[in-house]
Amino acid sequence: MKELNTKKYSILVVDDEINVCEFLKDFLSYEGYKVSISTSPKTALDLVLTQSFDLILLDIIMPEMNGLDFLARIKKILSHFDVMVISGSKDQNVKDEAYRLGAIDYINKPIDLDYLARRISTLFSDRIA
Amino acid sequence: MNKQVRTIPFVIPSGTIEQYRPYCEAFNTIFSSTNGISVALLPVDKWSPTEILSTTEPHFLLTNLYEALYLETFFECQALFRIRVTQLQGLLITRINAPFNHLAELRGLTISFLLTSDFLPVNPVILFLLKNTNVVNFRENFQGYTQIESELNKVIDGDYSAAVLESEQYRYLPDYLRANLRICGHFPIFNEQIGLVNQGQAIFQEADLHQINSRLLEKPLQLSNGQIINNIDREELALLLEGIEGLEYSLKEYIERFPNITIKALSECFVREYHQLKEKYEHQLEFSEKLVKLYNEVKESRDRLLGENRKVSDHVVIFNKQGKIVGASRLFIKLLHSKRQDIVGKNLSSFLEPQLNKSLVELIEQVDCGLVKSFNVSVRKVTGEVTNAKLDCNILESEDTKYVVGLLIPKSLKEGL
Repeated sequence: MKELNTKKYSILVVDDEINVCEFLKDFLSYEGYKVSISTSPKTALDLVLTQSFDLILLDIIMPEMNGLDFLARIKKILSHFDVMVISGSKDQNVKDEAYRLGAIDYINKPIDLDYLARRISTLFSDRIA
Repeated sequence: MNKQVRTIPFVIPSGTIEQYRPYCEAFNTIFSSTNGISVALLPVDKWSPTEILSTTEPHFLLTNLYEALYLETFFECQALFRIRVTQLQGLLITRINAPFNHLAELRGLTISFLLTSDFLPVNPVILFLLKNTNVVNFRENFQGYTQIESELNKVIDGDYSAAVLESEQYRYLPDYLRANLRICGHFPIFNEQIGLVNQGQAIFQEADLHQINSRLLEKPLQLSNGQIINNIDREELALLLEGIEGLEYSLKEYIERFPNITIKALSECFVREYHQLKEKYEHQLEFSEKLVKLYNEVKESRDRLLGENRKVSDHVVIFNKQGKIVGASRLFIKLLHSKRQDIVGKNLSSFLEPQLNKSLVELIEQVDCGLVKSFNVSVRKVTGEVTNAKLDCNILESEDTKYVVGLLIPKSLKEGL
């Protein structure tokens, strides 16, 4: 299989915890992606409307705006956006709701970094195929 | 009395002389009615309207609406006229007796978007509504003009609190609809440029400004890509400023956040591309669903296989938060081609190296925080041989000390057996 040119893809990480954002940014940058982070869903919405991203990694539990509300809003405005939820919530209803709103994947925290990297890489490879 | 001719530099970014030459001629036509003022092109390498207009010498330039507002408010600048591409405006409409007068009052309510123009919503009014209200019919669901009447009836019936539509759409509404609706405000939906001069009053006397306005009111001056019309409509700005305020930005912050893309028209080509992408996405979604199902089946059988595998060959290592090894399974020791006494007490980083730009201790910290479950590592055997594996971690709390139980899953099946 042709190796994915990760440099071509940009990812936005939205999580209210700066440590999580920074960690995922470091990890995904190491994988070669262009990564932006936002600890505020409102700021993230600005970024999405003004910049181009190939994927959003989204936390669910955030004080300012629930991740599901953010997901619903993004999907309403720009339905083609790929959003992958990363959450510590094990509630099946939350998971179902995320998929219903159009999330392409629901990754549980704590994260299997290898799985996350493969999942993202598969997503982008499928776009090329 | 002879007019005293005074030429003011018309500052433009370098390399754009040809583009601005027709503008310069048009402006001089307008200025000819004033007290002998004319402009001459002056290209500059560094394009910074704030810096250019804060100098003591008079300068003239074109800038976007928001920057012009800012410069007019905080510097001694004078907006002379504006250039607009189209007369089309965005209108915010409510039912006639609705209690809304300000954008902020629409927070959390349902708004129908009936705009047919293809534009990016980088406009403070639209941004505010997208972020703070429940927007329906945004772009893709909107079926065009046939839908307008029924949607506006929903505004009259109170199903929607307001609607956003174009001035031309409003113009052709049936009388009964217009009689039951109220325009809350209007705003530009395409980029406009403002002609701005510093030290305004000192250069252009009241009479000059009056002359310019009268001249443009009488006959807007046509340019190839728009027309020069009279000055900024302050009423139009009210809604834009409310939008910026509602987004919790100052004017300066808004300009810095959305430089030069305040309102950006989309080309036909982009719209086509957007629809193609949407179609592609829908196919992909269907494909992804199948893939997820397939993946889950594969994952399930892999987990079953690993479960069986672990029973006989667990590569377990127990270490503290600093990475010091306190225990290891027989198979872990065998994997390293080592002896127990050579491993226990040493730091795990002597044998395992994460395959990312983080140290083992940093990753253990993330495991402890609950963010990371597992990551890939390179395993350095005593023989010098290197193999790839995944380290799956679980925190074990013992009295006041935390330990990490690491299960090493070799990437090669051979290693695991």
